[in-house]
Amino acid sequence: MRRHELDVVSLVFGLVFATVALLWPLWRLDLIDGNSLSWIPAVALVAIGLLGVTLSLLRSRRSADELERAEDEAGARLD
Amino acid sequence: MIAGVCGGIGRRLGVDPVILRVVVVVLTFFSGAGLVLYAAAWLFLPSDQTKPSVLTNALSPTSTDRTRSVLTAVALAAVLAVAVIVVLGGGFVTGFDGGFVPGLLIAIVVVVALLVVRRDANPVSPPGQPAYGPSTAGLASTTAAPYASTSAITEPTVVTGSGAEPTVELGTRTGQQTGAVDPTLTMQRPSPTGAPAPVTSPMTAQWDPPFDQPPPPPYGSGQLPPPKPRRERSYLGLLTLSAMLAVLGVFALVDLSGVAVPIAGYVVAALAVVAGGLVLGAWIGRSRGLIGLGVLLGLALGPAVLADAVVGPGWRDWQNADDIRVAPRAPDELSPAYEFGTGSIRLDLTELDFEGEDVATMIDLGAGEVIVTVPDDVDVVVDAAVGLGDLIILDRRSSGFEPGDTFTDLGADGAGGGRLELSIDLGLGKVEVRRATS
Repeated sequence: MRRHELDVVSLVFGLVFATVALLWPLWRLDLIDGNSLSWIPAVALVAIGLLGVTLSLLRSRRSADELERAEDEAGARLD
Repeated sequence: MIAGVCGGIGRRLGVDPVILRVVVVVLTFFSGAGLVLYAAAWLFLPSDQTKPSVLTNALSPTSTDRTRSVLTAVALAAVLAVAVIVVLGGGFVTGFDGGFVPGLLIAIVVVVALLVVRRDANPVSPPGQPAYGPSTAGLASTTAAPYASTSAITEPTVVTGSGAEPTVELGTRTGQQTGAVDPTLTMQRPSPTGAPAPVTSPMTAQWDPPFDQPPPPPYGSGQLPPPKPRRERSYLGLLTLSAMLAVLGVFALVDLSGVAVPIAGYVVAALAVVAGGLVLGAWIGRSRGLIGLGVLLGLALGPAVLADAVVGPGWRDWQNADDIRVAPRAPDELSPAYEFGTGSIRLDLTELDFEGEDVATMIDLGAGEVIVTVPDDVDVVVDAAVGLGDLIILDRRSSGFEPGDTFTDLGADGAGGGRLELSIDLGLGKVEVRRATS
């Protein structure tokens, strides 16, 4: 398996599932109660969502730059 | 219908859009999640197979109608934000009783399903699939037309004909059905999976409808399409599944060796392995297929936790209480613990002489009814927990998922006159603690 560019979707869902998997033992061992449990998914969703938005915007900007560069090169070749 | 989201999704999934509309409306009424979902779909999903989504359009510097898209995107984002605040606010005020948890869960699941479907919708064409020409593109736009004009009756016809049919037959078949079928019989029509698909397998055809493939761009405009990179085969999914099986096997061995493993423990362990595979897949290999599995496991976690609450880890050792009635007269007649699987337990302590002493007992029942009657003057401390059901402690009632708390009541004479410590744990059913006179 080769290294590839960061796959945002994979990362975001991996983190979501990891959060859920981590919360259950904490709840089971009474380290957090039901009330704070209902807050944590919301906070986690906000954090993970913002991460996804940031990464996606960064990537979209980068691909726009690449497109521009490719067009410039094509134009230069035509000239 | 506002933006044709239901119709579009229905067309893609091969589901009757009317069903999707009903789901959205029901979700909207229950928790507002339907509204969030609709706006999100409008924002993020492509408006047609060949056009990018509103958001992509707004962000792209090359799109033609960018200003309009930016405005739409901003407006929708605002609606989305308000709806999220309303949904979350309503949910957190009422806690588990509110519609937030199931509504948002369903919303997340549907969005995830769409993501997965969208991923599967543009893979490299499998061999044997018909070639896509300009005629396909024309057909796609004509089948798309009814979705733009609101008509719940004609839409299912298009859905039936579109998904599973090979390109060649699409036109004629759609035409026949539109003409022949009585509008009132719309719901009885065979599902798209049942339709014949001679060229490809039904699954492939359904998730990979012909018009998913954008028509080839006009060549000769000077821009050749970039060559498609060959995808390297990834073993990450297989690796993760194998690791998951191994972990589950270890849990089962531990369970068999005598250490009780809760049902939710298995689910969470599998979910943790899937999460690991996905995080790994963000950098090496491909593992997006695991998202669906993770969602299923996440959904299974709720029932698993509930099942644990009902049966408890020690359920194998419990016997059933058909109808237990206990009315002890002296403290030593009271058992320190009453543990049963299902049934009804009635503990009558009105005849019990406390002699100013502290008395404690514990009731543990899987499912059923627990009724404890205590004398009027005894100080009572109740620590009660119910997995799902009703809790009525000295006229204070709470119900729903996981009601539970510690209650103290000094009785008619204030402090003194004996003290009772009750610990009640019930999986499913009703717990009631009452005074003798009330």
